[in-house]
Amino acid sequence: MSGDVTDEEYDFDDEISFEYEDDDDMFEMEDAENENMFSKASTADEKSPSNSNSAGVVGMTSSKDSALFSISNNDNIKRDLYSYNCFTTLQFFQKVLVGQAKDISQILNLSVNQVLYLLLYFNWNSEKLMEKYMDQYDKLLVETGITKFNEDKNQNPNDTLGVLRYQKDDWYCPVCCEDAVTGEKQFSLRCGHSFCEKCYQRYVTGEILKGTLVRCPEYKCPVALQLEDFDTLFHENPNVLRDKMPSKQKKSKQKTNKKKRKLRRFHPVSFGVFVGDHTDSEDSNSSDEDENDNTSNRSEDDRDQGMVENNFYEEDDESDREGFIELVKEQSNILNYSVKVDYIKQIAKKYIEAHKNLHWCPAPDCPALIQVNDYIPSKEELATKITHLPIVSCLQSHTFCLNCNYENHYPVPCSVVERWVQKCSNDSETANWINLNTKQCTKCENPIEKNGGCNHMTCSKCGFEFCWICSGPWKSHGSQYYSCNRFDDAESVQARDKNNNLKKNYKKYLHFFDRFQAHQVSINKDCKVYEKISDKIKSLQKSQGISWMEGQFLKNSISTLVKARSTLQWSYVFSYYLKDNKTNSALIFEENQTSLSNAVEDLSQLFNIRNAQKIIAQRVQFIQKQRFCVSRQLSLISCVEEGLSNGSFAFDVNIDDDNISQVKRKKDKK
Amino acid sequence: MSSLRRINKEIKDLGRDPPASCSAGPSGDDLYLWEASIMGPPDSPYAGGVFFLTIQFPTDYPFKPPKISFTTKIYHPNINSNGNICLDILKEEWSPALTVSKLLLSICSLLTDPNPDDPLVPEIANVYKTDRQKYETTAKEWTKKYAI
Repeated sequence: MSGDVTDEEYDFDDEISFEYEDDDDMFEMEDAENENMFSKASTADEKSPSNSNSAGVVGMTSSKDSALFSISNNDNIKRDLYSYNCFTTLQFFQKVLVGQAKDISQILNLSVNQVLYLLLYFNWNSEKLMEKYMDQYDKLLVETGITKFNEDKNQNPNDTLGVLRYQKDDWYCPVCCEDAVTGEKQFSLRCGHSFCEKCYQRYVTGEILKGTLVRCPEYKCPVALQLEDFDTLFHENPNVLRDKMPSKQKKSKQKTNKKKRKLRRFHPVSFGVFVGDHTDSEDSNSSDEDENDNTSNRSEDDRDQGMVENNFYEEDDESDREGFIELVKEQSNILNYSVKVDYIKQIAKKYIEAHKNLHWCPAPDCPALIQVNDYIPSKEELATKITHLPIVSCLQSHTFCLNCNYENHYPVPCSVVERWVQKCSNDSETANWINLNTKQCTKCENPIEKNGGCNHMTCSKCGFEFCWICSGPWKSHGSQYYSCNRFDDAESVQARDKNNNLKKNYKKYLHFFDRFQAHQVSINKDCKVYEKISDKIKSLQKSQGISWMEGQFLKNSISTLVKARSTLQWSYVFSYYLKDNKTNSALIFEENQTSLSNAVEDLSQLFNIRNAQKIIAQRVQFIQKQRFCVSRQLSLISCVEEGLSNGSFAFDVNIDDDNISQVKRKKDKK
Repeated sequence: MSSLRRINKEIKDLGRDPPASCSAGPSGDDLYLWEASIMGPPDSPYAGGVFFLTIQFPTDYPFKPPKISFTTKIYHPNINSNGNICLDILKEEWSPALTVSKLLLSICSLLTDPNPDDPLVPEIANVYKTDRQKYETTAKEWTKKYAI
C-alpha cells in the first residue's frame, strides 16, 4: 500500500493517530440517542470529531462540503461534478437508514427502533408509513405487531420487548419438542409465543438472511423482533462490538495494521477482476473532505500542495481512510460476529440493492459502498464527455467508474472499455490463431489448417473443393495449370481480402495490447519500488530529522505516475479503436500520447534511484517532472474530449467484429 | 438431532390425535420420508377419493419446511402433474411452529377451495374461473379414475 495507510508511522508532531488507547476511549462514549444499539457504527460516528487528527466524519459529506474542493487551477477534469459519500455497510445503516428513522421518529413520537421496525415493515416506504400512521394509528401499531394487542399505546417501551425466562416444568418447546429442562431458557416476544432459546436463535439466524423483519416463529404471528430483542436473545451486550474485541486482538490488529495493505486493481483482461497487487496511491477525489477538518498543519499544507501539484486529483483524507480501513477490518473480523450486526448488514444490503444511487465497490472483498448524491449521466450521454466520467474512489483507494464498474479509464469512454475488455477476455487469442493459420472453407466457413499436400483442398465437413492459394472454388481450376492464375476471380479476391484484413487487425491489436499490458506491469512495479523507497525515507526521517512534509513529494510523484500511466495505458485502447489515424486530430492525439509517454518515462526513471538520501536531494526534480506529467496527462485527456465532441475522432465499429462474431458463431454451433 | 426428536413427537401426536380425514407416517425405516393420505373432502369434486402424498423432511426441519407432493394424480389449479403443490405455507410462509398435521389440513382446505388467482396450472385455473361445471366434472372424472 502506499503512504496512505502507512502514514500513521510518520512522525506527526503532536498528532497521535489511531492509537488504540484512543479507540478505547471512543468506545466508551455512548450515543444516548441511539439507545446503545448501534454501538459499532456510532463509534465510527464519534471517532472523527473526538480524534484530533481525523479530518471529518468518515466518508460523510454533503454536496455542499464537496463543493469546497472544486477549486483547483486549470482543473480540466471536473471531479467534483458528482458528489458522493463512501461508507461501509454499517456506517451506511447508521447514517442513512437510522438517520431516516430518526427524522421520522421525531414526527411520529415513536422510538428510533420502532420507526426502523415500521420502515422495514413498509419496505422503506416512509410515505406509506406516515400515511398509515396518520390514518389509523392504533390499527397500524397492532397490525405490525409493534404493541401488544389492544393495549395502551403509551406503554413503557420496554414492555414491547422480548423476554428470556427460565423454562417452567410443564412446558415444552413446540419447535424441537424437548421438554423443559431446569436452567434452560425460553424466549418470547410481546406476543407471548415462547420457544426454547436454542430454537429461537437458530430460527432467527436463518431468517435474518432475508433482510426483512424477523417475525415470531409462530404461524401468522405479526410480531417481529426489534433490534433490542437481538441483544436479549443472543446475550449480546448492546455494545457487542466493543465487548467482543478482546485486548489481545487489539494488539494484533495494531501489528497487522502496520503491514502494507495491497490494493488490487482492475485488470481489464480478466474482466472486472482486480489482478496483480499494486499499491495504488490514488487519491480519493474526495468529496469526503469535511469542513470539520481540524486543520492540522499537515492536512492544510498537504492540501495546498495537492492543489498545485496534483491539480486534478483532489487531496484525499488519510485519516478518513485510516478510519475506514479500520472499520472494514473490524467488520470482516469473524470474532466480531454478531447476529444483530449481521442482521443490520442484511437489512442494509437489501436496501442498497434496491436503490440505484448506491454502488458497491467492485474490488473483491471491498465492503465499501458509494452513495451518489447527483444524477449520473448514462454511458451514452458521456460518450464524448470524457472529463465527465463518473470516476470515484472508495476509501480503500479503489478507483472505478460508476457507469461501467471498471477501473479509472480516462481517456476512453465506457463503451470502448467494454469492447476492449470483452475482446481481451473472450477466446480472441484462439480465434486469432485460427484466423492466421487456417483458411475458412468458402462454403461452410469451417476453418481448415493445411498441414501438407497439394493446394486442392476438400473440406472435410461439407466436401466443398477449393484452392488453398486463392480460396476460390477448385472447379474453375480444374483444367488449368496447377499454379493459380485466377487472381482476379471475384470470390477469391473477397476471401483473400478478408483474411488480410484480419491479419492486419490482429497485428494492430497485438501492437496496442502489448503496450497496454506493459504499462499495467509497470504500474505494479512502480508501486513495489515505491514501497521500498518509502521505507528508506521513513528511516531517514527518523535518523536525520527530515520532516514528514518533505517526504510527501514522493507519495505525490508515485500517485501521479500511476495515474498518468493508467491514462497512457488506456490511450492505447483509444488508438486501437480509432478509425482513422491519418487525420490531423489523430496526429495531435498521437503527439500528445508520445509526450505523455515521455513524461511518464522521465518521472519513472527518477525512481531508479534507490539511495534514499539521493532521492531527497532530487526532490525538486521529482516535483518538476511530476507537474509536467500531470499537465501532459490533462492535455491528452482534453485532446480526446475535444476531438470526440467535435466529431473529429470516430471509433471503428467493425474492427473486432470478425473475431468476436466468429467465436460466437462457433459457440452457437456447439 | 433436534429434527429427529421433533419428527418422533409428530408421529406420536398423529397417532394419539389424528386429524380428520388425513393420515401420515414414515413409509419405511427412514423417519425423514413419510407417506400420507388425504380423503377427498365431501363438499368437493374429490369426494370419495383417497389421495396419497409423500413428505420429505429436510435435515434442518422444522426450520425449513418439508417437501410435500401428491403421488396420486389430481385435477386441481394449484397442483401440477408432478404432484407439486403451490401453497404459501410450504414456502415463504412456513413457520417452525407448523406441523405435518396442520399442513395436511391446509392441503385439505386447498382441495375444497382452490386458489385460481395464484395457480400452478393456469389452464385448470382458467377452466375453474370460467366454467365451474366443467372443472367439477373433470375433477370428478380424475378422482374416479385415479383415486378410487
